[in-house]
Order: sequence, then structure tokens, then C-alpha cells
Amino acid sequence: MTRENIEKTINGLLIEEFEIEENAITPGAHLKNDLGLESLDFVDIAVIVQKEFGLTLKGEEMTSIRTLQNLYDYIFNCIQKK
Amino acid sequence: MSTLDYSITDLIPQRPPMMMIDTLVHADEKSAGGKLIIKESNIFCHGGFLQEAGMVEFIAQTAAAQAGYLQIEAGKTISLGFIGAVKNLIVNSLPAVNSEIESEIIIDSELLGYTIITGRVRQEGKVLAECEMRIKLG
Repeated sequence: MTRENIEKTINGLLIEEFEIEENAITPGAHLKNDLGLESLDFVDIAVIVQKEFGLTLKGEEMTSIRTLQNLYDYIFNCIQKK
Repeated sequence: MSTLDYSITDLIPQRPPMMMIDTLVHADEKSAGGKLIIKESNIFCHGGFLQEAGMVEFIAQTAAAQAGYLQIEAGKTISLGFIGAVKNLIVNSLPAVNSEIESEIIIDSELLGYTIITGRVRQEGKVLAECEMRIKLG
């Protein structure tokens, strides 16, 4: 799984599931403040991440994920460790 | 004890007219199944058929009963559950009054404090409705 594939999957999820405008999706976008994601949306993200990447996101780890770049990096690093 | 050894009111906090499951047929850590006979007085019935909301509630209460059963068996107090979200709901058809329907729930995972389930309602083997739910146990 390449970093590009991770970004493509996550960006597709944001566009399809949350109806976020494509031009709002930038690596520096803040998940809550810029993309408007709420707590239950993070559960949806966790479900997709588990289905697509086989990773189980943990609450304490999610607290450090604030931007899309953080999310891409977190998933990439977890996959590298597997 | 088997699920059938308990009254459904032992397992869920809902009471009439909001009770939407008659019997928890089986339950384990990963799945459960229930039964419901649709009475004409059911508050989710309209025009002789149980509506979508009734089937969603049936799935949710099956999950609640499963959690209640496991908690009782473990000697714990039953906790309240709340539906956080219903996703990907598909309704193929509505069951008629005076017929019996069956539920099946599968625990997909537990993420960020929510239990993620897939639920189905069947009648005579045919899937009437299915959805995913995010349930938060209080």
C-alpha cells in the first residue's frame, strides 16, 4: 500500500461519505474546523480504515490526528509496522 | 442460562409500546437473533404493514438484548445503549401485521467506544431490511 493509495482512499471517502468538496481536501485541512467532521464521523472513518486497511484506530491515538496529513501519516505508519 | 430462559424485559430497558422484540432466540459475543410478531397495535405499523422505523428498532433492540444477556450472564448491571447512527439502510419490503419476523445482528467491531453492527430482518428466509448501526453503550 503506497502513500498515494492511502490518500486516494481517504479522499474518496470524504467526498462520497461526507459530501466534502474536492477542493477543500488538502493535506493541511483541519478535520473538524475545515472539513466540518464531527465525533460520529470519526467512527465512520475508523470503520472505513478498518475495512480498507485492516487497522483498528484507537481513541487515544485519534486525539493526535487533527489534519488530513496527520491521518495519512498515521495510516501509513501503522501499515509500515504491520 | 440460555437466552430463552429470560423474559425479554429482563434484557432490555424498553417497555410497551416501544418494545420491538418478543424473544431473544440466541446470543453470543459476536451475533444474536430475535423474533417479533407484528401486532396491529404496534406503534410502527401503518396501513397493515410494519414500517421501516419498526424494523430498524427491531434490529437495535436485538443488539440491546444481546448486550443485556451478556451482561447478566457476566453478573453485571445492564447498561443503556443509544443508536449513534444508522448507515446503508436497505428496505426491500415491509412485513404485514400478524406475521412473524426474525432479526440477525453481527458485531463487526468495536471502535472509538462504539459497537459497529450489521443487522438484518428476515421473513421466511427473505431479507426484508438490512443496515449498519453504530451503537454507544452508556
